[in-house]
Amino acid sequence: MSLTLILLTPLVGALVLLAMPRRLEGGIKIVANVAAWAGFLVSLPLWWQFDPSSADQFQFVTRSPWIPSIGAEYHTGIDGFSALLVLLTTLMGGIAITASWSAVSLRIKEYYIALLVLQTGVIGAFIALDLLLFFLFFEVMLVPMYFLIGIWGSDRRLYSAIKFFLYTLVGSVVLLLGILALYFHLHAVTGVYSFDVTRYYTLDVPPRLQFWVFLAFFLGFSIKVPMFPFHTWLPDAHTDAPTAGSVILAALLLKAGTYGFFRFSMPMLPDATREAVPWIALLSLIGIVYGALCAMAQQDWKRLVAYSSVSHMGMVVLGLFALTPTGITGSLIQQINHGVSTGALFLLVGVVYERRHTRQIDAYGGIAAVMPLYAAIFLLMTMSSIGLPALNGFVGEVLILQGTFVVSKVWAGVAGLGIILGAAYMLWLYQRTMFGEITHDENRGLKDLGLREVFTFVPLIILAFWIGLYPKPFVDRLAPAVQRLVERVSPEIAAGAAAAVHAVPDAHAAPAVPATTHPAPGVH
Amino acid sequence: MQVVPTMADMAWLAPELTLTVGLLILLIGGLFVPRDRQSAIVWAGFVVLGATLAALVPQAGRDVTIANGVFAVDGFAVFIKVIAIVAAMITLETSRHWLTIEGVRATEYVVLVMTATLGMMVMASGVDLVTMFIGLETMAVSFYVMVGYLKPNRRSNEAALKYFVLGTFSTGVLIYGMAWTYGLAGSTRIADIAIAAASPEGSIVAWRFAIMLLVAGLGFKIAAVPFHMWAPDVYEGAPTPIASFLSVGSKAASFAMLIRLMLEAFPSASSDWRSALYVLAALSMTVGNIAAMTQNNLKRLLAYSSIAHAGYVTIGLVAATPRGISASLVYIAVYACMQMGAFAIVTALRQKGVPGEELHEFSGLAHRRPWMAFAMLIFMIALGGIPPTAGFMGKMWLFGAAIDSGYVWLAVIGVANSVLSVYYYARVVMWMWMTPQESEAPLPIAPSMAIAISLAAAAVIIGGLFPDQLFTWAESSARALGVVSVAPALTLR
Amino acid sequence: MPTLNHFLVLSGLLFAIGTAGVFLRRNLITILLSIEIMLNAVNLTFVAVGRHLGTVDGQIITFFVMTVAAAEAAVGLAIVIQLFRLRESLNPDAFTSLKW
Repeated sequence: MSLTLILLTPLVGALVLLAMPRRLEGGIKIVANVAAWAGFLVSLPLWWQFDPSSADQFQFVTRSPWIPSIGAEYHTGIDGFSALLVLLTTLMGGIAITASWSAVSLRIKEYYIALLVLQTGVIGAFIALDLLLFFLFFEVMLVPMYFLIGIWGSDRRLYSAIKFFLYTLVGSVVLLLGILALYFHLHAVTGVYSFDVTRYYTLDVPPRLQFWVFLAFFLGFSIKVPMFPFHTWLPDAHTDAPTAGSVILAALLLKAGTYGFFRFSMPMLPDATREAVPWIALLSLIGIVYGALCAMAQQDWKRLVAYSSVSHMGMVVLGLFALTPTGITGSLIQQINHGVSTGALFLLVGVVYERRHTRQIDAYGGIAAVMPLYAAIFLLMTMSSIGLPALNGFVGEVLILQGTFVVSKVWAGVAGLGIILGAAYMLWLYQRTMFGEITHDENRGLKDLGLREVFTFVPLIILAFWIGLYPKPFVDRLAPAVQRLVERVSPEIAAGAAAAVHAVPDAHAAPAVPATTHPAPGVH
Repeated sequence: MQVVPTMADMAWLAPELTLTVGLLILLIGGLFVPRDRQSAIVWAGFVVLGATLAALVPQAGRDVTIANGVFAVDGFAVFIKVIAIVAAMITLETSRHWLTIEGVRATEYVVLVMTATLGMMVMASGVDLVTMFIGLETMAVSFYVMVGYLKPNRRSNEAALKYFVLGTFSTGVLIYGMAWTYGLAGSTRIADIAIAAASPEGSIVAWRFAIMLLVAGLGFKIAAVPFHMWAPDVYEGAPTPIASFLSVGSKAASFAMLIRLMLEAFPSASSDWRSALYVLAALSMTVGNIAAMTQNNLKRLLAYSSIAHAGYVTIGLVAATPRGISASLVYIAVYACMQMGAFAIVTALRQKGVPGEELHEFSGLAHRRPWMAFAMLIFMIALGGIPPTAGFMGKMWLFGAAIDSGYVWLAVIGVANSVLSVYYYARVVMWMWMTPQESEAPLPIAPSMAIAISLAAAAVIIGGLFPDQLFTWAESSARALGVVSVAPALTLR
Repeated sequence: MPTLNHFLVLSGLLFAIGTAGVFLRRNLITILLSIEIMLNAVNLTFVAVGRHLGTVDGQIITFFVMTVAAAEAAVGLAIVIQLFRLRESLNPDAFTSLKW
């Protein structure tokens, strides 16, 4: 029941907003904030009540018939990873809505409804244990996001909105074909019509069907991640989306793609997964380096962060497809980290954009002098994003590199290069915007962060330090899920998995990987 | 041989008789209704259709063939009849507003809607070529008149002419196919044809020729490519409520006839008509969607989209399994809701001196009429097949049926087309929500119209969230047909 | 003595002539007549087949087809007259309010 409550809280908020008259602007904002933060509060017990030592793969399971005639069920439940993602979703949802308080003044009723519906879709995708239910939520995310970009976006919003919509739709309809092919295969083998995810975890699918279904799933999820070469929608969507849209897109929607790999592709199609590893690793590595190089060339602040997302999500997929316990753990941790740090970076861009209405990097410079608190938080989040020890990014990147290194030294080397490039463009961005003389007079009068804005950053700063200094609670929650996945996709190393996972919590105390702390060129 | 229908037969014909008696009374009674009380006739028509619907209730779940084996009362027929009657009722509700704006007499209009419905009901039940033909013509001739109902309007007249010429031509093709079938099988009864076709005497080529003529004739009625060229012009020129009724009722009844003919009369020739329909489905989806992308008139856009939807429905018939047929039925029902809803909104935009059909006239609708824009949004995402709408559930099940029967590539063409179609549905949404308002003119909306639109929107959403009832009902209806269990064409396994 | 095949060939020819007329002729009345020719080809087929099979079904169906053709002709001529009043032309190419 509690998962259903978490799912429905934002939706109820949206329905209340729907019934409110549009002239009550203050009331609409308050209702939206209350709904979003209530959603966070009702999800908070997941942190305590989730039992990592439980023998059940999924907890908080709710099952009831939904469409009995085709065997679809309302089946929800979470493992350690989905628990963390749900918490991240409710938190980021609240932050995104609070951050929009003064940024959005146009048609705010529709705006908050879109955000809350979007959040419902994301939560639903993370808790669904029925393929059809998952797909429903996976696509429900599209329409509100289309509206967020198309109505409240900037510049080429119409183009970016439709590009986002069609691009991700292509992936998801192909995904649907894959789901249906598996569904009929299950019936052919067992005589049961069911979309129940857990049934497919024990199903042996013939290699040829595995190949085709994996390809379909891959298209669906890799466009969402997005992986090179399917990433071209992301910079456009991010650049033109309003701040809250970018935050949700980066922190949550992209995770739906990697979550799909973790929850569906890999455990359901283990043989095809193993076959696909070299190809996916290649695409990830290209993505890491290409994303970083593109980021370096950007003049647009938000576009730069968007390309950094391409690079970071490459790392996440690489770690996942290393198929080692360490790599997968690192990948899952890094997904949370990416949500926190990139979400924060988009919020930070939003803060100055709201004041100056430009995202051009050369329109800024010397901001640290007028907005010291802002500069401090930005520095912290830059460090978190480039993986400085004691902050969250470090833990994830080290684990991914460790996990990848045992599979291929070359992959780890190229990924390391990506991290160096990442440090370079982020620090260069920081230097260009925060340091130096104030070159534009408009920037002299900029107000530093207000109380509400600081409030939106506090949870993210806490998380950044928490995961960076003491990741054990997170890793513990992920361990059983990782263990199960490794047993399914690489049984030969599953035996050693337990030991490796238990070694993980101490990783933050290990000597720093040199690559991550090299100062980037151009830092004074 | 019993030729005269018995009293028992008459009892089974209760819905058709109710409608016939009702429309005859209206036709005569309408003469005495003063010109300023026309709305009473619309109400009367609504009540008669409601009574017809009620008369259908006892027939649910029955399976009998009456009147000397020419008329079937089975789940399949009931399913299609319910769609036809509900479509007619929605048409009358949305016409109320339109009749006032255009200032035309209501009596003949209402009666023609009812005769067309009667034709559809006979088509759905016919298990004899002649019965089917009479039903089809009752419907078609009513539509010829209704399309040209706006006598002084040039576009309405041209649409009527075009529909009439191509309609009668397709009738000629269809009845020629029926003549050949009769010659080859020696009977016009579906059951006898199936027996004769199972061990065909005479030339196989002649049998194929007959089947192709039948498919082509009905292809015109369902507006499948390459028999679709009338549809955009006729939908654009016809009165909007009639275009809506034409695209839903006529299509549903013609599909019923096509499905019954192919599955019950020619199960033994399934490989022939399946390959023909495969091509028809693929072409209809692709051509319909691509052509719709560039349309700026919403009625034309919906016409092309209805061509594409004929393609989707055909997928289920190509699969030709009970699942495929039930998927087709589900999709016909779902399509009826979303298409009529979208057309109702176009009708609502029609005001004195404002055509309300061009896309730019939708600009800023989200400001002028937020709820109307919201309803249109629901219809558009449903037509595009995006959850949580019934459009998604219907398409999902159609593609599922195709994959299940081994037609994986047809499913791939289908999903590729869904993506294409979202482009132009999103354009409509873009005009409503993301462009500045062009007109400040008030946009009054009649309560009956608002109710019709809300009901259609609610049906689309509820069907998308809880489609179980619809699936179960369609499946039992499909089972009423003697669906051949055909071997999968090819398979991944 | 003509056999069934003779009738079928004749009706096929008539049907083809009617079809060609619908698409090739540029006068609405002629187009309507061409459609009538098609329907009469169908009637001929029905009667010939009925006679061949030794049943009256074919002849009965012919009456149905004739009735339907009459109804269609009535409606069709009404539409044509209405259009002629508006446009003073019987050439379908003159009707350009819709993209044909």
